[in-house]
Amino acid sequence: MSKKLYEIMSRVFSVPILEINDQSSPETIERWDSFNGLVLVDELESTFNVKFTVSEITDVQTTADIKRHLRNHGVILDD
Amino acid sequence: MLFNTLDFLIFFPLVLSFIVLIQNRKFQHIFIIIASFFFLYYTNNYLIVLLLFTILFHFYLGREIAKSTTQKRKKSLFVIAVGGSLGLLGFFKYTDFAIAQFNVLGNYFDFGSQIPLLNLILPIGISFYMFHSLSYIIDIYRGNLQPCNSLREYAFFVVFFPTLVAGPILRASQFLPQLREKIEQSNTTHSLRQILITHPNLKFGITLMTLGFFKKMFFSDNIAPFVNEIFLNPIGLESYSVILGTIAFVIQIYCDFSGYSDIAIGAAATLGFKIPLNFNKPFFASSPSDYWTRWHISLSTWVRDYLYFPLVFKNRKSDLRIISSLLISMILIGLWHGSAWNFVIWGGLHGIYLSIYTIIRKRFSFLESHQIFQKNFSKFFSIIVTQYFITFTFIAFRVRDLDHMFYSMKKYIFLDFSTMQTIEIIKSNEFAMILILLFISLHIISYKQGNLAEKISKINSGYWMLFLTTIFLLVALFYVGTAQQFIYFKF
Amino acid sequence: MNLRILFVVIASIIVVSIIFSFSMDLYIKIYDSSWRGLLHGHDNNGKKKIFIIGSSSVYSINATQINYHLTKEGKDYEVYDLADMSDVPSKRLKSIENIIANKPAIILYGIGMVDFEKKPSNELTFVQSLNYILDPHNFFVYIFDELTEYGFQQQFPTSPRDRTLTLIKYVIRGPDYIYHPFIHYKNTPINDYNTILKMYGTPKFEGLDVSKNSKESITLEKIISTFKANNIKVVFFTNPYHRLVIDSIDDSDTQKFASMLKNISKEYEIDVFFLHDKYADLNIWRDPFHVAINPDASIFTNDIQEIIFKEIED
Repeated sequence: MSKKLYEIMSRVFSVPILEINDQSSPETIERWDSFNGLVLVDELESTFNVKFTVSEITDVQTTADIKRHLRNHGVILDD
Repeated sequence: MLFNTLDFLIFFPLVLSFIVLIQNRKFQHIFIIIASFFFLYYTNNYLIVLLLFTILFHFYLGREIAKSTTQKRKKSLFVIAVGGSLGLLGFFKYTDFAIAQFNVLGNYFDFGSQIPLLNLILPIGISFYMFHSLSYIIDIYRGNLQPCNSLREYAFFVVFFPTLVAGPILRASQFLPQLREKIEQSNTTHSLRQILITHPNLKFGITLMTLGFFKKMFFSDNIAPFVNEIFLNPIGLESYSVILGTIAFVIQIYCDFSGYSDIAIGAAATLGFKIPLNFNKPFFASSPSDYWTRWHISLSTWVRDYLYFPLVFKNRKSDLRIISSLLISMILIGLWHGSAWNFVIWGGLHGIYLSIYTIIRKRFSFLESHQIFQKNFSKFFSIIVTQYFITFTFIAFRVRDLDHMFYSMKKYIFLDFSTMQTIEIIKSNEFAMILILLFISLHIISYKQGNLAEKISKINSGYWMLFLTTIFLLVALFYVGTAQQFIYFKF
Repeated sequence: MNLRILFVVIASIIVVSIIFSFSMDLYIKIYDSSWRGLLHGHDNNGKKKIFIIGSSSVYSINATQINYHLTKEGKDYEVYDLADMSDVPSKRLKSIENIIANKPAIILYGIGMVDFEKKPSNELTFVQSLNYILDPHNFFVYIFDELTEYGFQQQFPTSPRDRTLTLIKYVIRGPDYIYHPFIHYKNTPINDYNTILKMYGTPKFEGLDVSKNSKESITLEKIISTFKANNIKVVFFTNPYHRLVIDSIDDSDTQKFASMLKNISKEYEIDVFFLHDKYADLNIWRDPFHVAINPDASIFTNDIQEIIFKEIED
């Protein structure tokens, strides 16, 4: 599932999947801005069948935070 | 107190010395808090009461919000906290502006007598510490932050003197974990850490502060007289003169603001606090949204997280919702800078740019990854076009008078191709022209270098001393001095 | 490790201070005509020189216009406006040897009332202490002045940038305007009373100290004696000021200032012309202390021109 997350991020941000890890953030990925951030939210919601709140999307500094919120919604991510 | 004064150059080393001498961590924090209050009191005197009130108000409300067991109570307290903050901010910043508009309307409808202006003094730093406080309250309400255990901790965060007066805007969720003692990588306790001044932090901090002083005092203060001359009365100027003046202004304000931010970030770094960049090479932005990830980052991310996302999130598929959210956010960013119509226009223009760009991205998403946009030439072209449009908006930022503004804008867009007057202006402002060229060259070099301050702080002592001496000397020799600012004071 | 950083920073500050204080006075070298100086490359046809000296309040006098009329009337004199930013008698003393070396025939000295502003008393009274608590910046300045004895603020030039640029320009190409070598002589706008009040506020003065023992009075007399000893004719005029400035100085102080100059005039046989409030209510000002450099503000130049013509005849 972790790989699936990275795949989605790779597609949304047009960045090779190998460049994505848990520490990736808007600072390290050029195309990660608020527009693509919302596109990512849409993709994650439809892929994992979850609904995020504003509080959750503003509580994201790195990819690890995204994983944490997915976990809170019962999405199990194994490495 | 302002950074570019002798007073601060004495204050800051004194604070550092005391921190080194005071080993007891509790007293260290109390000392910084007192020093920060003194820092504000130095220029703002009795208005420091407002800061005190703000601290107590938000600390206790934050605690209560976190403790609330019912959603109703939580929301009511939240509304009081936010309403109170915005109310105070609005009162001091926008009352006279609002009164002036009522009077204009009153005149239009012949209402008779005018409401007198209150002529309130704007408390220095209020735009910053109010936003610090709001981020604290909102993050607690959202469940993203544990409230501070002690008033001492909260007060430290709000009054921290490097960022108190002119930013960057701190986020509680980024700052508080740095203040708290760490037990593991990301876990913190409630006790506050010892403030240690380490060798690499001190060197980096001083390097960054030096670069900040250089930008502000050498570039910005020396370009300002030229900009003032152009925009004192631009009516009658040639297009090229207006464009040159606007470019100069953009450089001036960038050097002024980013210089100040560098000094703040550097000062915080010496005390071991990492504050994110506030400016990240905005002159290399290749689109309006890229620009706002590079210019006044602490403000744009604050508005994004606490205004834009809440406005747009629920209905983000709707173009109308996106456009209106962007316009509202950007106009408010404009108003944050000052209570006048020219700032509204400035913000509005940015809102329009972002809206157009976002809608195009949404509709034609395939374009972004198209081959042609990956080429270097495309990137370069995007940068030029973006900078052209962004620079245009800064006419509104600088020029208050609407007639002057529209004239300048017209001349910026519809070139008259005359050069005679512009050549004369260049000839009689050689120093400013040299500075502009110098800035552009240095900026391009530093872009290629990445994090310049970090690189410089790693060089050996001999070269580092040469660096410091050169910058200090340039700042001293070209110090504009009291003649400009306090021109009535003597001579 | 931190000590090393501290050492480097202090060393840099010391080096910079030395270079800075050295270079701030270098500009006086431009008086030296054999250096890239004042009269370097300018053939003045053996005409006698008239120097106008004083602070920046004096720089709006249009020496080019005066020279035009001198030539027209066939007078064998040439005027140079050597007004210098932040000039006061004690600072002017530094360049006096250089001025004399250029052998002027007449020196027209603009003396400003504000040059004699009282320095804050060194005694820490109770009221003053209270003021310092409310305004810590002034306390800081007081301490700093006490520590440096001379008064640090006075020693520090008000615009290092102008000094440095002047020096660089002279090294590269000599003065831009031969008759206005020190300050960039270009048109400035005239601002009306309300604009000036809005831009600059009301000036505040502690009062004047024109007693015989005041530092500036002593220096002034020294300057005059030196000029006289070198057979240079000295003429005084008082710097004109805007109404805002005139009103912020007590009448009694203004009287004392005028008396002081009258006494000097008698003692050294010098003509004095009182212009300080002559234009106070006219619309010729750029700011409270400077007449605009503007064709509509030529009254100041015209009056100086008249004074010069009169002094030439005498």
